[in-house]
Amino acid sequence: MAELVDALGSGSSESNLVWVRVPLSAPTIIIKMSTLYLPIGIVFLVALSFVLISLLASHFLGPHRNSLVKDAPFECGIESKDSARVRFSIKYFLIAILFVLFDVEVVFFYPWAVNFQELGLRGLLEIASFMGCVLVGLIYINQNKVLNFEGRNVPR
Amino acid sequence: MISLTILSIAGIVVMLMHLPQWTSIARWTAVIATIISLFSIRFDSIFTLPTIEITRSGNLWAGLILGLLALILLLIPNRNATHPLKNDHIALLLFATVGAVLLTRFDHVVTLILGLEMVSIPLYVLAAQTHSPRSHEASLKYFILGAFSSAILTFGIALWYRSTGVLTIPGPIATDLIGRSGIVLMLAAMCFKVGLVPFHYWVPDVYEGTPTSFTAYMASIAKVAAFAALFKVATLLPTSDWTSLAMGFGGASILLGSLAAIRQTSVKRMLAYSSIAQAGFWILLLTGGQFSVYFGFAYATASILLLWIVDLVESSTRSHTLTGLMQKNQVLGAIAIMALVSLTGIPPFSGFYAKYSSLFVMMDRGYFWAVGIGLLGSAMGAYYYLKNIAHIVAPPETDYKIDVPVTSVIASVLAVGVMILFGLAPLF
Repeated sequence: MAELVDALGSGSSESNLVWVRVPLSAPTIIIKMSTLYLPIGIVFLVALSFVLISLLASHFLGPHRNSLVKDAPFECGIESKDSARVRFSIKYFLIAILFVLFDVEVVFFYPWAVNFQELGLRGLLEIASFMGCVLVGLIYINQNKVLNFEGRNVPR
Repeated sequence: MISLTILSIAGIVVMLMHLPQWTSIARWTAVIATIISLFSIRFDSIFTLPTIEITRSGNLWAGLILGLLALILLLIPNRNATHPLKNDHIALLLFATVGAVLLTRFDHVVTLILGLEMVSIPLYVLAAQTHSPRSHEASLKYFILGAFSSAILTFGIALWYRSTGVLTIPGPIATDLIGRSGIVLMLAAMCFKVGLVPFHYWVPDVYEGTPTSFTAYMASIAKVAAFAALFKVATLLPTSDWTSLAMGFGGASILLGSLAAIRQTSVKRMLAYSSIAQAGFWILLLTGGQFSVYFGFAYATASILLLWIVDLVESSTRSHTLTGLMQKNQVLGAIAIMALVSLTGIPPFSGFYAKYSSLFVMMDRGYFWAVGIGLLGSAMGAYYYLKNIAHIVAPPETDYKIDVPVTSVIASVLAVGVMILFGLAPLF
Protein backbone atom coordinates (compact mmCIF):
# COMPACT_ATOMS: atom_id res chain seq x y z
CA MET A 1 0.00 0.00 0.00
CA ALA A 2 2.82 2.39 0.87
CA GLU A 3 4.35 1.75 -2.53
CA LEU A 4 1.11 2.68 -4.24
CA VAL A 5 0.76 5.95 -2.33
CA ASP A 6 4.39 6.78 -3.06
CA ALA A 7 4.02 6.30 -6.77
CA LEU A 8 0.84 8.32 -6.92
CA GLY A 9 2.33 11.12 -4.82
CA SER A 10 5.54 11.56 -6.79
CA GLY A 11 3.63 11.42 -10.04
CA SER A 12 1.48 14.42 -9.35
CA SER A 13 3.78 16.74 -7.40
CA GLU A 14 7.35 16.59 -8.68
CA SER A 15 7.60 15.38 -12.22
CA ASN A 16 4.66 16.39 -14.32
CA LEU A 17 5.91 15.25 -17.68
CA VAL A 18 7.45 11.92 -16.69
CA TRP A 19 5.41 8.79 -17.18
CA VAL A 20 5.20 7.18 -13.81
CA ARG A 21 4.53 3.51 -13.68
CA VAL A 22 1.66 3.22 -11.23
CA PRO A 23 1.16 -0.34 -10.01
CA LEU A 24 -2.44 -0.98 -10.90
CA SER A 25 -2.58 -4.27 -9.08
CA ALA A 26 -4.39 -4.23 -5.78
CA PRO A 27 -2.31 -4.52 -2.63
CA THR A 28 -2.09 -8.07 -1.35
CA ILE A 29 -5.00 -8.86 0.92
CA ILE A 30 -4.17 -10.98 3.93
CA ILE A 31 -7.67 -11.31 5.39
CA LYS A 32 -9.43 -14.43 4.19
CA MET A 33 -11.29 -13.37 1.08
CA SER A 34 -14.45 -15.35 1.83
CA THR A 35 -15.22 -13.29 4.95
CA LEU A 36 -15.06 -10.12 2.85
CA TYR A 37 -17.89 -11.40 0.69
CA LEU A 38 -20.22 -11.86 3.66
CA PRO A 39 -21.72 -8.31 3.51
CA ILE A 40 -22.42 -8.75 -0.21
CA GLY A 41 -24.26 -11.96 0.52
CA ILE A 42 -26.33 -10.21 3.18
CA VAL A 43 -27.23 -7.43 0.75
CA PHE A 44 -28.29 -10.04 -1.80
CA LEU A 45 -30.51 -11.74 0.77
CA VAL A 46 -32.07 -8.45 1.86
CA ALA A 47 -32.79 -7.44 -1.75
CA LEU A 48 -34.27 -10.83 -2.58
CA SER A 49 -36.44 -11.00 0.51
CA PHE A 50 -37.68 -7.41 -0.04
CA VAL A 51 -38.88 -8.30 -3.53
CA LEU A 52 -40.42 -11.61 -2.46
CA ILE A 53 -42.10 -10.24 0.67
CA SER A 54 -43.61 -7.21 -1.02
CA LEU A 55 -44.89 -9.24 -3.98
CA LEU A 56 -46.38 -11.98 -1.81
CA ALA A 57 -47.85 -9.51 0.69
CA SER A 58 -49.59 -7.51 -2.01
CA HIS A 59 -50.85 -10.73 -3.56
CA PHE A 60 -52.35 -12.05 -0.33
CA LEU A 61 -53.44 -8.81 1.36
CA GLY A 62 -54.73 -6.76 -1.58
CA PRO A 63 -58.28 -6.99 -2.98
CA HIS A 64 -58.66 -8.59 -6.45
CA ARG A 65 -60.95 -6.49 -8.66
CA ASN A 66 -60.10 -6.89 -12.33
CA SER A 67 -61.39 -4.82 -15.22
CA LEU A 68 -60.41 -4.40 -18.87
CA VAL A 69 -58.81 -1.01 -18.34
CA LYS A 70 -57.02 -2.08 -15.22
CA ASP A 71 -55.47 -5.13 -16.86
CA ALA A 72 -54.16 -3.21 -19.85
CA PRO A 73 -50.38 -2.63 -20.05
CA PHE A 74 -49.64 0.68 -18.43
CA GLU A 75 -46.86 3.14 -18.91
CA CYS A 76 -46.58 6.79 -17.93
CA GLY A 77 -50.29 7.48 -18.17
CA ILE A 78 -50.41 7.53 -21.97
CA GLU A 79 -53.02 5.20 -23.41
CA SER A 80 -51.38 2.30 -25.20
CA LYS A 81 -52.40 1.68 -28.77
CA ASP A 82 -51.16 -0.39 -31.73
CA SER A 83 -48.17 -2.72 -31.84
CA ALA A 84 -44.77 -1.61 -30.65
CA ARG A 85 -43.19 -3.11 -33.77
CA VAL A 86 -43.30 -0.15 -36.11
CA ARG A 87 -40.54 1.04 -38.40
CA PHE A 88 -38.49 4.02 -37.34
CA SER A 89 -36.28 6.14 -39.52
CA ILE A 90 -32.64 5.08 -39.17
CA LYS A 91 -31.89 8.68 -38.21
CA TYR A 92 -33.41 8.18 -34.77
CA PHE A 93 -30.99 5.37 -34.16
CA LEU A 94 -28.00 7.37 -35.34
CA ILE A 95 -28.95 10.36 -33.22
CA ALA A 96 -29.43 8.11 -30.19
CA ILE A 97 -26.00 6.52 -30.68
CA LEU A 98 -24.38 9.93 -31.12
CA PHE A 99 -26.12 11.17 -28.00
CA VAL A 100 -24.69 8.28 -25.98
CA LEU A 101 -21.23 8.91 -27.40
CA PHE A 102 -21.09 12.63 -26.75
CA ASP A 103 -22.90 12.32 -23.45
CA VAL A 104 -20.38 9.85 -22.05
CA GLU A 105 -17.66 12.31 -22.97
CA VAL A 106 -18.83 14.47 -20.05
CA VAL A 107 -18.10 11.57 -17.69
CA PHE A 108 -14.43 11.99 -18.51
CA PHE A 109 -14.54 15.76 -18.19
CA TYR A 110 -15.94 15.79 -14.70
CA PRO A 111 -13.05 14.16 -12.80
CA TRP A 112 -10.62 16.30 -14.75
CA ALA A 113 -12.51 19.50 -13.89
CA VAL A 114 -12.58 18.59 -10.19
CA ASN A 115 -8.83 17.89 -10.13
CA PHE A 116 -7.90 20.68 -12.52
CA GLN A 117 -5.23 22.20 -10.26
CA GLU A 118 -3.59 18.93 -9.28
CA LEU A 119 -3.41 17.47 -12.77
CA GLY A 120 -1.77 20.61 -14.14
CA LEU A 121 -0.33 20.89 -17.62
CA ARG A 122 -0.23 17.15 -18.26
CA GLY A 123 -3.91 16.81 -17.44
CA LEU A 124 -4.70 19.69 -19.77
CA LEU A 125 -2.76 18.08 -22.61
CA GLU A 126 -4.44 14.74 -22.06
CA ILE A 127 -7.93 16.16 -22.00
CA ALA A 128 -7.05 18.20 -25.10
CA SER A 129 -5.98 15.06 -26.96
CA PHE A 130 -9.18 13.35 -25.86
CA MET A 131 -11.18 16.35 -27.09
CA GLY A 132 -9.26 16.14 -30.36
CA CYS A 133 -10.36 12.53 -30.83
CA VAL A 134 -13.98 13.42 -30.13
CA LEU A 135 -13.70 16.38 -32.49
CA VAL A 136 -12.42 14.12 -35.28
CA GLY A 137 -15.47 11.97 -34.67
CA LEU A 138 -17.71 15.01 -34.99
CA ILE A 139 -16.06 16.01 -38.27
CA TYR A 140 -16.51 12.45 -39.56
CA ILE A 141 -20.19 12.48 -38.60
CA ASN A 142 -20.66 15.80 -40.34
CA GLN A 143 -18.91 14.57 -43.48
CA ASN A 144 -21.30 11.63 -43.63
CA LYS A 145 -24.25 14.03 -43.36
CA VAL A 146 -25.70 12.42 -40.27
CA LEU A 147 -26.53 15.82 -38.82
CA ASN A 148 -28.26 16.91 -42.01
CA PHE A 149 -31.82 16.52 -40.74
CA GLU A 150 -33.74 18.08 -43.60
CA GLY A 151 -32.29 16.67 -46.80
CA ARG A 152 -32.83 13.16 -47.98
CA ASN A 153 -29.12 12.46 -47.68
CA VAL A 154 -29.13 9.07 -46.09
CA PRO A 155 -25.73 8.35 -44.58
CA ARG A 156 -23.54 6.18 -46.78
CA MET B 1 4.33 3.43 -28.42
CA ILE B 2 5.49 5.52 -31.38
CA SER B 3 4.43 2.86 -33.88
CA LEU B 4 0.89 2.76 -32.51
CA THR B 5 0.66 6.56 -32.54
CA ILE B 6 1.67 6.63 -36.19
CA LEU B 7 -0.90 3.98 -37.06
CA SER B 8 -3.70 5.73 -35.18
CA ILE B 9 -2.98 9.10 -36.74
CA ALA B 10 -2.88 7.50 -40.18
CA GLY B 11 -6.22 5.89 -39.41
CA ILE B 12 -7.76 9.22 -38.46
CA VAL B 13 -6.37 10.92 -41.58
CA VAL B 14 -7.67 8.14 -43.83
CA MET B 15 -11.04 8.23 -42.07
CA LEU B 16 -11.43 11.92 -42.88
CA MET B 17 -10.64 11.52 -46.60
CA HIS B 18 -14.27 11.02 -47.38
CA LEU B 19 -14.38 11.47 -51.13
CA PRO B 20 -14.52 8.21 -53.10
CA GLN B 21 -11.89 9.35 -55.60
CA TRP B 22 -9.34 9.59 -52.79
CA THR B 23 -9.28 5.85 -52.18
CA SER B 24 -5.91 5.29 -53.80
CA ILE B 25 -4.39 8.20 -51.85
CA ALA B 26 -5.88 6.72 -48.69
CA ARG B 27 -4.45 3.31 -49.51
CA TRP B 28 -0.96 4.65 -50.08
CA THR B 29 -1.13 6.79 -46.93
CA ALA B 30 -2.03 3.67 -45.01
CA VAL B 31 0.73 1.59 -46.62
CA ILE B 32 3.40 4.21 -45.96
CA ALA B 33 2.23 4.71 -42.37
CA THR B 34 2.29 0.95 -41.80
CA ILE B 35 5.82 0.66 -43.14
CA ILE B 36 7.02 3.62 -41.05
CA SER B 37 5.45 2.15 -37.96
CA LEU B 38 6.99 -1.24 -38.78
CA PHE B 39 10.41 0.35 -38.70
CA SER B 40 9.65 2.41 -35.58
CA ILE B 41 8.92 -0.68 -33.48
CA ARG B 42 12.49 -0.69 -32.23
CA PHE B 43 12.03 2.80 -30.77
CA ASP B 44 8.84 1.89 -28.95
CA SER B 45 10.53 1.36 -25.60
CA ILE B 46 11.52 5.06 -25.47
CA PHE B 47 8.00 6.22 -24.72
CA THR B 48 5.82 3.72 -22.99
CA LEU B 49 2.68 3.58 -20.93
CA PRO B 50 1.63 1.74 -17.82
CA THR B 51 -0.04 -1.66 -18.46
CA ILE B 52 2.18 -2.19 -21.50
CA GLU B 53 5.42 -4.12 -21.57
CA ILE B 54 7.79 -4.18 -24.49
CA THR B 55 9.58 -7.47 -24.93
CA ARG B 56 11.61 -8.93 -27.73
CA SER B 57 9.08 -11.61 -28.58
CA GLY B 58 6.29 -9.04 -28.35
CA ASN B 59 8.17 -6.94 -30.89
CA LEU B 60 8.49 -9.95 -33.20
CA TRP B 61 4.73 -10.48 -33.07
CA ALA B 62 4.10 -6.77 -33.64
CA GLY B 63 6.49 -6.75 -36.59
CA LEU B 64 4.72 -9.73 -38.10
CA ILE B 65 1.33 -8.06 -37.67
CA LEU B 66 2.45 -4.80 -39.27
CA GLY B 67 4.14 -6.62 -42.15
CA LEU B 68 0.97 -8.59 -42.83
CA LEU B 69 -1.07 -5.37 -42.68
CA ALA B 70 1.17 -3.80 -45.33
CA LEU B 71 0.69 -6.87 -47.52
CA ILE B 72 -3.10 -6.80 -47.09
CA LEU B 73 -3.29 -3.08 -47.82
CA LEU B 74 -1.27 -3.54 -51.01
CA LEU B 75 -3.31 -6.52 -52.18
CA ILE B 76 -6.86 -5.51 -51.27
CA PRO B 77 -8.71 -4.92 -54.57
CA ASN B 78 -10.50 -1.66 -55.33
CA ARG B 79 -13.75 -3.55 -55.73
CA ASN B 80 -14.91 -6.74 -54.14
CA ALA B 81 -17.64 -8.83 -55.78
CA THR B 82 -20.35 -6.23 -55.21
CA HIS B 83 -18.98 -3.08 -53.61
CA PRO B 84 -16.10 -0.65 -54.00
CA LEU B 85 -13.46 -0.32 -51.32
CA LYS B 86 -14.07 2.73 -49.13
CA ASN B 87 -11.65 4.82 -47.11
CA ASP B 88 -13.62 3.89 -44.00
CA HIS B 89 -12.66 0.26 -44.57
CA ILE B 90 -8.96 1.12 -44.71
CA ALA B 91 -9.31 3.23 -41.57
CA LEU B 92 -11.07 0.38 -39.77
CA LEU B 93 -8.28 -2.01 -40.77
CA LEU B 94 -5.72 0.43 -39.33
CA PHE B 95 -7.65 0.86 -36.07
CA ALA B 96 -8.08 -2.89 -35.69
CA THR B 97 -4.35 -3.30 -36.17
CA VAL B 98 -3.67 -0.88 -33.32
CA GLY B 99 -5.68 -3.27 -31.13
CA ALA B 100 -3.83 -6.25 -32.57
CA VAL B 101 -0.46 -4.74 -31.66
CA LEU B 102 -1.77 -3.97 -28.15
CA LEU B 103 -2.63 -7.66 -27.81
CA THR B 104 1.02 -8.56 -28.31
CA ARG B 105 2.22 -6.18 -25.62
CA PHE B 106 -0.18 -6.13 -22.69
CA ASP B 107 0.95 -6.90 -19.19
CA HIS B 108 -2.34 -6.02 -17.54
CA VAL B 109 -5.83 -7.36 -18.18
CA VAL B 110 -7.20 -3.88 -18.97
CA THR B 111 -5.01 -3.71 -22.06
CA LEU B 112 -5.94 -7.29 -22.95
CA ILE B 113 -9.66 -6.47 -22.95
CA LEU B 114 -9.09 -3.17 -24.73
CA GLY B 115 -6.98 -4.82 -27.42
CA LEU B 116 -9.46 -7.64 -27.98
CA GLU B 117 -12.34 -5.21 -28.37
CA MET B 118 -10.31 -2.95 -30.65
CA VAL B 119 -9.64 -5.89 -32.95
CA SER B 120 -13.16 -7.29 -32.81
CA ILE B 121 -15.41 -4.25 -33.18
CA PRO B 122 -14.01 -3.07 -36.55
CA LEU B 123 -14.30 -6.66 -37.78
CA TYR B 124 -17.98 -6.84 -36.83
CA VAL B 125 -18.53 -3.76 -38.99
CA LEU B 126 -16.36 -5.01 -41.85
CA ALA B 127 -18.14 -8.39 -41.91
CA ALA B 128 -21.42 -6.64 -42.77
CA GLN B 129 -20.09 -4.57 -45.66
CA THR B 130 -21.88 -6.46 -48.44
CA HIS B 131 -25.64 -6.01 -48.68
CA SER B 132 -26.40 -9.70 -48.64
CA PRO B 133 -28.13 -11.79 -45.98
CA ARG B 134 -25.03 -13.99 -45.77
CA SER B 135 -22.84 -11.07 -44.89
CA HIS B 136 -25.26 -9.70 -42.31
CA GLU B 137 -25.63 -13.15 -40.80
CA ALA B 138 -21.86 -13.44 -40.56
CA SER B 139 -21.59 -10.08 -38.85
CA LEU B 140 -24.38 -10.76 -36.37
CA LYS B 141 -23.09 -14.24 -35.57
CA TYR B 142 -19.59 -12.95 -35.04
CA PHE B 143 -20.86 -10.07 -32.92
CA ILE B 144 -23.08 -12.12 -30.63
CA LEU B 145 -20.56 -14.90 -30.10
CA GLY B 146 -17.79 -12.33 -29.71
CA ALA B 147 -19.77 -10.49 -27.07
CA PHE B 148 -20.31 -13.79 -25.23
CA SER B 149 -16.64 -14.60 -25.33
CA SER B 150 -15.73 -11.13 -24.02
CA ALA B 151 -18.16 -11.65 -21.17
CA ILE B 152 -16.63 -15.05 -20.42
CA LEU B 153 -13.17 -13.50 -20.49
CA THR B 154 -14.19 -10.76 -18.07
CA PHE B 155 -15.85 -13.22 -15.73
CA GLY B 156 -12.76 -15.41 -15.78
CA ILE B 157 -10.64 -12.37 -14.92
CA ALA B 158 -12.97 -11.59 -12.01
CA LEU B 159 -12.63 -15.12 -10.60
CA TRP B 160 -8.88 -15.09 -11.07
CA TYR B 161 -8.61 -11.71 -9.37
CA ARG B 162 -10.67 -12.98 -6.47
CA SER B 163 -8.20 -15.77 -5.89
CA THR B 164 -4.89 -13.97 -6.47
CA GLY B 165 -5.63 -10.27 -5.96
CA VAL B 166 -3.46 -9.37 -8.96
CA LEU B 167 -4.41 -8.17 -12.43
CA THR B 168 -1.04 -8.30 -14.19
CA ILE B 169 -0.14 -10.93 -16.76
CA PRO B 170 2.24 -12.74 -16.33
CA GLY B 171 1.11 -13.07 -12.75
CA PRO B 172 1.14 -15.59 -9.94
CA ILE B 173 -0.21 -19.07 -10.62
CA ALA B 174 -3.55 -19.53 -8.90
CA THR B 175 -3.67 -22.55 -6.64
CA ASP B 176 -7.31 -22.80 -5.58
CA LEU B 177 -10.24 -24.08 -7.60
CA ILE B 178 -11.85 -20.68 -8.24
CA GLY B 179 -8.64 -19.13 -9.52
CA ARG B 180 -7.99 -22.12 -11.77
CA SER B 181 -11.50 -22.01 -13.20
CA GLY B 182 -11.06 -18.29 -13.84
CA ILE B 183 -7.97 -18.97 -15.93
CA VAL B 184 -9.78 -21.74 -17.79
CA LEU B 185 -12.60 -19.31 -18.62
CA MET B 186 -10.07 -16.76 -19.87
CA LEU B 187 -8.44 -19.42 -22.04
CA ALA B 188 -11.85 -20.48 -23.37
CA ALA B 189 -12.54 -16.91 -24.50
CA MET B 190 -9.15 -16.70 -26.20
CA CYS B 191 -9.71 -20.07 -27.89
CA PHE B 192 -12.96 -18.68 -29.23
CA LYS B 193 -11.09 -15.76 -30.76
CA VAL B 194 -8.61 -18.03 -32.52
CA GLY B 195 -11.26 -20.61 -33.47
CA LEU B 196 -10.07 -23.77 -31.74
CA VAL B 197 -12.31 -26.76 -31.72
CA PRO B 198 -14.81 -26.64 -28.91
CA PHE B 199 -15.31 -22.96 -29.80
CA HIS B 200 -15.02 -23.10 -33.58
CA TYR B 201 -18.67 -23.00 -34.67
CA TRP B 202 -18.57 -19.44 -35.93
CA VAL B 203 -15.49 -19.85 -38.14
CA PRO B 204 -16.91 -21.34 -41.38
CA ASP B 205 -20.03 -19.18 -41.54
CA VAL B 206 -18.26 -15.96 -40.65
CA TYR B 207 -15.36 -16.59 -43.02
CA GLU B 208 -17.75 -17.41 -45.86
CA GLY B 209 -20.18 -14.53 -45.30
CA THR B 210 -17.61 -11.80 -44.79
CA PRO B 211 -16.43 -9.98 -47.95
CA THR B 212 -13.32 -11.89 -48.97
CA SER B 213 -10.92 -8.94 -48.64
CA PHE B 214 -11.81 -8.71 -44.99
CA THR B 215 -11.79 -12.47 -44.47
CA ALA B 216 -8.10 -12.23 -45.32
CA TYR B 217 -7.66 -9.81 -42.41
CA MET B 218 -9.71 -11.99 -40.08
CA ALA B 219 -7.80 -15.14 -40.99
CA SER B 220 -4.40 -13.51 -40.66
CA ILE B 221 -3.91 -10.51 -38.39
CA ALA B 222 -6.83 -11.08 -36.02
CA LYS B 223 -5.73 -14.68 -35.59
CA VAL B 224 -2.04 -13.87 -35.13
CA ALA B 225 -2.85 -11.26 -32.46
CA ALA B 226 -5.26 -13.56 -30.66
CA PHE B 227 -2.63 -16.31 -30.62
CA ALA B 228 -0.05 -13.91 -29.18
CA ALA B 229 -2.49 -13.09 -26.39
CA LEU B 230 -3.52 -16.73 -25.91
CA PHE B 231 0.06 -17.86 -25.37
CA LYS B 232 0.58 -15.07 -22.87
CA VAL B 233 -2.60 -15.87 -20.91
CA ALA B 234 -1.54 -19.54 -20.93
CA THR B 235 1.52 -18.68 -18.81
CA LEU B 236 -0.88 -18.34 -15.88
CA LEU B 237 -1.35 -22.12 -15.84
CA PRO B 238 1.33 -24.55 -14.63
CA THR B 239 3.22 -25.95 -17.63
CA SER B 240 1.97 -29.53 -17.27
CA ASP B 241 -1.70 -28.44 -17.11
CA TRP B 242 -1.28 -26.15 -20.08
CA THR B 243 0.43 -28.86 -22.11
CA SER B 244 -2.43 -31.30 -21.64
CA LEU B 245 -5.05 -28.60 -22.36
CA ALA B 246 -3.22 -27.49 -25.50
CA MET B 247 -2.92 -31.06 -26.72
CA GLY B 248 -6.64 -31.57 -26.18
CA PHE B 249 -7.57 -28.41 -28.08
CA GLY B 250 -4.93 -29.02 -30.73
CA GLY B 251 -5.70 -32.66 -31.41
CA ALA B 252 -9.45 -32.06 -31.62
CA SER B 253 -8.95 -29.04 -33.91
CA ILE B 254 -6.62 -30.89 -36.26
CA LEU B 255 -8.93 -33.88 -36.60
CA LEU B 256 -12.24 -32.04 -36.88
CA GLY B 257 -10.91 -29.21 -39.05
CA SER B 258 -9.28 -31.60 -41.51
CA LEU B 259 -12.24 -33.97 -41.67
CA ALA B 260 -14.67 -31.13 -42.33
CA ALA B 261 -12.38 -29.45 -44.86
CA ILE B 262 -12.28 -32.57 -47.03
CA ARG B 263 -15.97 -32.30 -47.86
CA GLN B 264 -16.08 -28.60 -48.79
CA THR B 265 -16.67 -27.42 -52.34
CA SER B 266 -16.23 -23.68 -51.80
CA VAL B 267 -12.60 -22.59 -51.41
CA LYS B 268 -13.52 -20.08 -48.73
CA ARG B 269 -15.20 -22.71 -46.55
CA MET B 270 -12.33 -25.10 -47.17
CA LEU B 271 -9.91 -22.41 -45.99
CA ALA B 272 -12.08 -21.73 -42.94
CA TYR B 273 -12.00 -25.37 -41.85
CA SER B 274 -8.35 -25.70 -42.72
CA SER B 275 -7.66 -22.63 -40.59
CA ILE B 276 -9.16 -24.53 -37.66
CA ALA B 277 -6.75 -27.39 -38.39
CA GLN B 278 -3.83 -24.97 -38.71
CA ALA B 279 -4.78 -23.38 -35.38
CA GLY B 280 -4.57 -26.88 -33.92
CA PHE B 281 -0.99 -27.23 -35.14
CA TRP B 282 -0.23 -23.73 -33.92
CA ILE B 283 -1.33 -24.37 -30.34
CA LEU B 284 0.83 -27.51 -30.18
CA LEU B 285 3.81 -25.13 -30.11
CA LEU B 286 2.76 -24.36 -26.49
CA THR B 287 4.61 -21.04 -26.12
CA GLY B 288 4.55 -17.70 -27.88
CA GLY B 289 8.22 -17.76 -28.82
CA GLN B 290 9.96 -17.52 -32.17
CA PHE B 291 8.45 -20.76 -33.46
CA SER B 292 4.94 -19.42 -32.97
CA VAL B 293 5.77 -16.18 -34.76
CA TYR B 294 7.24 -18.22 -37.57
CA PHE B 295 4.12 -20.38 -37.73
CA GLY B 296 2.01 -17.21 -37.81
CA PHE B 297 4.07 -15.86 -40.68
CA ALA B 298 3.83 -19.06 -42.71
CA TYR B 299 0.11 -19.59 -42.18
CA ALA B 300 -1.01 -15.95 -42.48
CA THR B 301 0.99 -15.11 -45.62
CA ALA B 302 -0.32 -18.13 -47.48
CA SER B 303 -3.90 -17.44 -46.34
CA ILE B 304 -3.75 -13.79 -47.37
CA LEU B 305 -2.45 -14.70 -50.83
CA LEU B 306 -5.06 -17.42 -51.35
CA LEU B 307 -7.97 -15.30 -50.16
CA TRP B 308 -6.78 -12.43 -52.33
CA ILE B 309 -6.89 -14.67 -55.37
CA VAL B 310 -10.29 -16.07 -54.34
CA ASP B 311 -11.49 -12.46 -54.05
CA LEU B 312 -10.27 -11.61 -57.56
CA VAL B 313 -11.85 -14.70 -59.09
CA GLU B 314 -15.03 -14.14 -57.12
CA SER B 315 -15.45 -10.60 -58.50
CA SER B 316 -15.18 -11.94 -62.05
CA THR B 317 -17.16 -15.17 -61.79
CA ARG B 318 -19.30 -14.85 -58.63
CA SER B 319 -18.27 -18.32 -57.57
CA HIS B 320 -16.06 -19.55 -54.76
CA THR B 321 -13.95 -21.94 -56.81
CA LEU B 322 -10.62 -21.55 -58.51
CA THR B 323 -11.36 -23.85 -61.47
CA GLY B 324 -9.26 -23.05 -64.52
CA LEU B 325 -7.30 -20.23 -62.95
CA MET B 326 -4.01 -21.39 -64.46
CA GLN B 327 -5.23 -20.89 -68.03
CA LYS B 328 -6.76 -17.50 -67.31
CA ASN B 329 -3.85 -15.97 -65.45
CA GLN B 330 -0.63 -17.88 -65.04
CA VAL B 331 0.94 -15.63 -62.42
CA LEU B 332 -2.10 -15.84 -60.14
CA GLY B 333 -2.37 -19.56 -60.72
CA ALA B 334 1.27 -20.10 -59.80
CA ILE B 335 0.94 -17.99 -56.66
CA ALA B 336 -2.19 -19.88 -55.60
CA ILE B 337 -0.46 -23.22 -56.13
CA MET B 338 2.58 -22.10 -54.12
CA ALA B 339 0.37 -20.84 -51.27
CA LEU B 340 -1.53 -24.15 -51.21
CA VAL B 341 1.71 -26.13 -51.23
CA SER B 342 3.02 -24.02 -48.38
CA LEU B 343 -0.15 -24.62 -46.34
CA THR B 344 0.22 -28.35 -46.98
CA GLY B 345 3.69 -28.18 -45.46
CA ILE B 346 5.97 -29.11 -48.33
CA PRO B 347 9.47 -27.64 -48.60
CA PRO B 348 10.91 -25.25 -49.80
CA PHE B 349 8.04 -23.13 -48.52
CA SER B 350 7.82 -21.80 -44.97
CA GLY B 351 4.77 -23.93 -44.18
CA PHE B 352 7.08 -26.94 -43.95
CA TYR B 353 9.10 -25.62 -41.04
CA ALA B 354 5.94 -24.36 -39.34
CA LYS B 355 4.43 -27.85 -39.26
CA TYR B 356 7.79 -29.44 -38.59
CA SER B 357 8.40 -27.29 -35.51
CA SER B 358 4.99 -27.96 -34.00
CA LEU B 359 5.43 -31.73 -34.44
CA PHE B 360 9.00 -31.42 -33.17
CA VAL B 361 7.87 -29.74 -29.95
CA MET B 362 5.43 -32.58 -29.30
CA MET B 363 8.04 -35.23 -30.17
CA ASP B 364 10.56 -33.51 -27.90
CA ARG B 365 8.22 -33.72 -24.93
CA GLY B 366 7.39 -37.33 -25.67
CA TYR B 367 3.74 -36.98 -26.64
CA PHE B 368 3.78 -39.42 -29.53
CA TRP B 369 0.04 -39.73 -29.87
CA ALA B 370 -0.15 -35.95 -30.52
CA VAL B 371 2.51 -36.37 -33.21
CA GLY B 372 0.41 -39.18 -34.70
CA ILE B 373 -2.69 -36.99 -34.83
CA GLY B 374 -0.60 -34.23 -36.39
CA LEU B 375 0.69 -36.57 -39.09
CA LEU B 376 -2.81 -37.85 -39.79
CA GLY B 377 -4.05 -34.25 -40.07
CA SER B 378 -1.18 -33.41 -42.44
CA ALA B 379 -2.09 -36.33 -44.65
CA MET B 380 -5.72 -35.24 -44.80
CA GLY B 381 -4.50 -31.67 -45.38
CA ALA B 382 -2.48 -32.83 -48.35
CA TYR B 383 -5.67 -34.29 -49.82
CA TYR B 384 -7.83 -31.19 -49.64
CA TYR B 385 -5.11 -28.66 -50.44
CA LEU B 386 -3.78 -30.62 -53.40
CA LYS B 387 -7.32 -31.24 -54.68
CA ASN B 388 -7.61 -27.48 -55.16
CA ILE B 389 -4.38 -27.46 -57.16
CA ALA B 390 -6.02 -29.99 -59.48
CA HIS B 391 -8.95 -27.57 -59.88
CA ILE B 392 -6.60 -24.70 -60.65
CA VAL B 393 -4.79 -26.64 -63.37
CA ALA B 394 -8.01 -28.03 -64.92
CA PRO B 395 -9.55 -26.26 -67.95
CA PRO B 396 -11.90 -23.37 -67.06
CA GLU B 397 -15.66 -24.02 -66.95
CA THR B 398 -16.79 -20.50 -67.73
CA ASP B 399 -15.20 -17.67 -69.60
CA TYR B 400 -14.00 -14.84 -67.41
CA LYS B 401 -11.28 -12.24 -67.29
CA ILE B 402 -9.18 -11.17 -64.34
CA ASP B 403 -7.36 -7.87 -64.27
CA VAL B 404 -4.88 -7.29 -61.49
CA PRO B 405 -3.10 -4.04 -60.60
CA VAL B 406 0.68 -4.20 -61.10
CA THR B 407 1.41 -3.18 -57.50
CA SER B 408 -0.59 -6.10 -56.18
CA VAL B 409 1.28 -8.53 -58.42
CA ILE B 410 4.62 -7.12 -57.27
CA ALA B 411 3.57 -7.30 -53.61
CA SER B 412 2.33 -10.86 -53.92
CA VAL B 413 5.46 -12.01 -55.75
CA LEU B 414 7.55 -10.38 -53.01
CA ALA B 415 5.48 -12.18 -50.38
CA VAL B 416 6.03 -15.51 -52.13
CA GLY B 417 9.74 -14.70 -52.31
CA VAL B 418 9.90 -14.06 -48.57
CA MET B 419 7.92 -17.26 -47.99
CA ILE B 420 10.49 -19.29 -49.94
CA LEU B 421 13.42 -17.42 -48.33
CA PHE B 422 12.21 -18.14 -44.80
CA GLY B 423 11.34 -21.67 -45.86
CA LEU B 424 14.91 -22.28 -47.06
CA ALA B 425 16.60 -20.56 -44.15
CA PRO B 426 14.43 -20.25 -41.04
CA LEU B 427 16.94 -17.96 -39.36
CA PHE B 428 15.71 -16.44 -36.22
